[in-house]
Amino acid sequence: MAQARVVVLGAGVAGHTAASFLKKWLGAKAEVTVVSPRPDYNWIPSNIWVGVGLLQPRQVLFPLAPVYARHGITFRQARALVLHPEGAGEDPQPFVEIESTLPGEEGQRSRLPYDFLLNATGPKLNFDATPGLGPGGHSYSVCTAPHAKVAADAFLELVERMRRGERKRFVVGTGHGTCTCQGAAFEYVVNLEFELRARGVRDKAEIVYLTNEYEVGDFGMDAVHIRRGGYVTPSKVFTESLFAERGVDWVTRAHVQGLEPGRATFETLDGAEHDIAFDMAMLLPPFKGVGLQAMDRLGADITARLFAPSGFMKVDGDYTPKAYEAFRSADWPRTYQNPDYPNLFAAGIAFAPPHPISRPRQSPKGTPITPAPPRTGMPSAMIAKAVAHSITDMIQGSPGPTRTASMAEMGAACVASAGNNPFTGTAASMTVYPIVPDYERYPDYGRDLRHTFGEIGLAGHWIKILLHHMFLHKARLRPFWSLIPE
Amino acid sequence: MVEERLHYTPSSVPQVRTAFFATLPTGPTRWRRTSLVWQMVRFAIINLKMIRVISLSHHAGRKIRS
Ligand SMILES: Cc1cc2nc3c(=O)[nH]c(=O)nc-3n(C[C@H](O)[C@H](O)[C@H](O)COP(=O)(O)OP(=O)(O)OC[C@H]3O[C@@H](n4cnc5c(N)ncnc54)[C@H](O)[C@@H]3O)c2cc1C
Repeated sequence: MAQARVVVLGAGVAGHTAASFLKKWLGAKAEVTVVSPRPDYNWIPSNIWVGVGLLQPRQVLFPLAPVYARHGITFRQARALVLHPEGAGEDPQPFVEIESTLPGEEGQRSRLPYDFLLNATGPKLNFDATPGLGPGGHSYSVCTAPHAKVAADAFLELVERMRRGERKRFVVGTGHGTCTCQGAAFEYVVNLEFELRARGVRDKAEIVYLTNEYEVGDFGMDAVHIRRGGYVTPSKVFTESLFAERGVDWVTRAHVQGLEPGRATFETLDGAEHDIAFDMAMLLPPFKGVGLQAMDRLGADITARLFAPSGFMKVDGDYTPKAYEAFRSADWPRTYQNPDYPNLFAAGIAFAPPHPISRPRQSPKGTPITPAPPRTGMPSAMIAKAVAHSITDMIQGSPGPTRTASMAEMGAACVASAGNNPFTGTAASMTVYPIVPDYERYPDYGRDLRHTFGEIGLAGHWIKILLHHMFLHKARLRPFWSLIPE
Repeated sequence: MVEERLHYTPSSVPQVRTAFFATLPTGPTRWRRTSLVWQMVRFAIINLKMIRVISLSHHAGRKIRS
């Protein structure tokens, strides 16, 4: 085969991991092109510390172009718009239509032909789902480094006012009934509390955690159960304990309906409506797909065939609508190959999950109030690496994908920061196995309790710091990067 | 702080839940969380536990047999 063209859309955890391994394994056998609208790589987990003013954005960002240039990867600073998996008209060559975001060339469109394409475009931060939500409205976000910096500026200004004796209320959590990524909101609220203490103004602050989870500690994973002290204890107990100890109050089962300056209105699962005043709110947006479209050879729109209504791409999962009780862990994708187009894959947040992990619930008014399934960094990277392996093997002659990475067969290790200080900081270290509960293998809790554990302490914080440096080293593709596990 | 919060009357929102019904750590538990020697031991143990789950997961990313 002549040099194969592999196009990776997105340069986040999934896209960057896949592109790096594809180039390492294929070398001159393939031209690997990464398309991403932003010039930088962002180590997103450390945005939490940017959001409380402990880190500057430049400490969690680095420019991608020089890294890719050094490693023979082509970088196009552009946004992917339309997939043409059958080519166009008489020409069967698949291509993707992209739009440049490079300063000076903004808006210029071009076609990028491919033999294999990996969609790793992550989420669209859907602030529009809730009126007034987000940095363009009346709340803050830590989902990107620039968002986190704006949140930090507001936070530090309030700290100054509290030093002058004013009392303030902080509301942190999820800005819609269908949000995911509660882990990030959890980390932000406990870090914010820690920083208020460190800055000597904790007594001037009221902190409320506002979440769409049925119970705190659900994390979109239908909670985690841990064997400890003669009991099997749900994560709710540990999370409530953490909040109680820190004087953080919490509101669960909430769908934020809208925000106006200093006030959020929300509906709870019982159908009641409430409002809460705040001086600063950091509320995460719900996620949806980034809005890629698809067209067939004749120019007909086939977006609905390739993408779920959420905008995430369909892969080899079982998307048949079923009752929650009828879902099986085997429904989850294994190879991440699109069923219609074998040279099309999706990894990380960009693939469509076949069903929620947490039990779906709605209020009497029909408002869904239930976390969407999370796809955190470790599974995103592991899926991307498995897909890179499959594409490598297919380029070298394998008839189909050669690797699997089902979230129902893999575990996740996760460290949630609860305060950043080398001696007094803490973090919650957790492992779950598997991520998607498998009630056929583990009838009681869906998970293997021997490999599911959690504890909070300073050691977790040291691990978090280690991970920050290790993963940035890996992402910069510095010596021995490929030896660092995902 | 904790004692003060236990008696704290939350804002006007009745859904707000506070410390009273939550499990709270005792003094020794809190002390262990930031005790340098104990946490060095935990650092090693947590890493081992994580490596075990990571290796189980890499096993999941296995080769499809043809
Ligand atoms: C504040 C915060 C803290 C977190 N903390 C943790 C943590 O501690 N541990 C953990 O495991 N996970 C954490 N996560 C989750 C983790 O960040 C995600 O799991 C991970 O980023 C998903 O990777 P991804 O590559 O799928 O998406 P992203 O990392 O979001 O990458 C998507 C990429 O696609 C690009 N893109 C977007 N649109 C287009 C387009 N049209 N064309 C081409 N490219 C496009 C984007 O610019 C980006 O480069 C956190 C998330 C947040 C928000």
